Amino acid sequence: MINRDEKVIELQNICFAYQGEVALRYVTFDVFRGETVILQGPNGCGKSTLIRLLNGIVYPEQGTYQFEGNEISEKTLKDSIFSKKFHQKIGYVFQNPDVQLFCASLEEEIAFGPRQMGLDEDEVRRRTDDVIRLTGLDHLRERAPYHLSGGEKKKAALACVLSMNPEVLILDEPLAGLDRRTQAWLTDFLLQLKAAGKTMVIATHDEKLAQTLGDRYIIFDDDHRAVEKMPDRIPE
Amino acid sequence: MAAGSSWQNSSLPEDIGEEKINIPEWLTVEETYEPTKDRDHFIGKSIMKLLGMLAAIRENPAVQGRGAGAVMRLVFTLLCIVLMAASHNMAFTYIILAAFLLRAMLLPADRLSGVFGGAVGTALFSAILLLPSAFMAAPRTMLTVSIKVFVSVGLIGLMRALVPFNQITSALKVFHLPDIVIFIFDITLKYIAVLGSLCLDILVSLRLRSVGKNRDKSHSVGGVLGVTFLKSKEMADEMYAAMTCRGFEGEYRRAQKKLLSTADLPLLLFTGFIMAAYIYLELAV
Repeated sequence: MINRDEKVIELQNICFAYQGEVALRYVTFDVFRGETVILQGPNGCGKSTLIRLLNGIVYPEQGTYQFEGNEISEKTLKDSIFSKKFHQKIGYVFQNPDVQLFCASLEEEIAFGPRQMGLDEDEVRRRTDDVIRLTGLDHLRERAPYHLSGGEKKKAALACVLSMNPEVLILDEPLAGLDRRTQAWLTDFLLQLKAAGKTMVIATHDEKLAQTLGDRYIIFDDDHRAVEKMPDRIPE
Repeated sequence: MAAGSSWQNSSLPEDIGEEKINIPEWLTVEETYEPTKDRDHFIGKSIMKLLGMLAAIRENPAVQGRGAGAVMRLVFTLLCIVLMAASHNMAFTYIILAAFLLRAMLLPADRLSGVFGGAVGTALFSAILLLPSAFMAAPRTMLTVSIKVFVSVGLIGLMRALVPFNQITSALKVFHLPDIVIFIFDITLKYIAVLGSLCLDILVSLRLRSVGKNRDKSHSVGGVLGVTFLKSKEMADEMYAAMTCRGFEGEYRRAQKKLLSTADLPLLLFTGFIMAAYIYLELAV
């Protein structure tokens, strides 16, 4: 359920350029609590840059980004406590799961976040067991994440983000490189998370995923500008 | 789907949403987490170092496309370094120094730190190494060697600022380096960039998930390096397989590009002047 009184993310006139090459031009939109927003647009239009910006990896050159009413900028994220709290609240599932998995076993990988948060070992174990079960990776818990298949890696990447219980999930091309069955499973899973009240921002080219999950669309054009569309008609 | 749309055909089945997944309760409530302070500057520092290295490899030189080509610049740079090392007359070193400073002056400001940073650093290092000689028999040696090191490293930096890496490796063919060696240089540079990007992404992911106290930082860094190593091996195997599929049997041939063009003429004339100055000044010693 969407709470239209509570903005989780507020972007105002965001501009960003890589060494003079414009990636985002005056991007403005809000994300409400419990809402699923779909980012869509041609390759190179700025979706991935926006995702990096939402996660505090890069910072706006112009405009403001607020998360739960707090400004997110290079200056505010220099405060390590604030930065850690922000990163706990926002979970990012990379398009390439290889870069997200660096521990010796899947179990360790999923427990990494909860252990960092200082949760007691019983709680860590409970969360690890729960997300391993949810993602259907029970039989692989001792396996090195690097040796998992593409679909399993994607599930593992999602599991290690979920174990930290973020309030907002950001997914970059979640269905890319997955077989039909895993795509269907992941879409079902995201639907359940949506029903459980998670806020999600998803960059995708998959029309059906967008239709199934999207409450609102942010459409980028080749000029790196973004416009909002409501789901009454799937934007082209 | 309309023409020009960037939506892709979905392969999702029709029965989406019918599977029931039980989401655990802790995942549906807001987390009450208060982080504690931890020393995690190493991730930030590693990210900045990698970003700098990747930028150095990827960025296109500011004056690319104008002036002399890579072959002429490479020949000129190496010739200057060799002649300066062999020269017994400091006047020759000062000529090269003046030419280097004049050319460096024309560089955009953001390139200057790259050119002078390395040159000043290595010159200071050699000065420290030769410090005892200042108190012993040859006090001028320290100054002479340090200046020559400064100019030599500065010339290399200048060439790096003016010519992209891939053109420098291609220009090596003029020295009759085997094609396979040039290929290895090219691939090495490519993989430094590719694996650097991968390493950078893993470090970013580590930073995003480092939301508390990491008691075993070395373990995490080991994981980052381990994944990068495994990925490099996998990529190397895949590239070899791809090359084999395209008929590679251990021999690699590259086409020889045009050696000189009219744009090389000013630098060619200056090279002639440098050689004449070297001979004249050596005879004058």
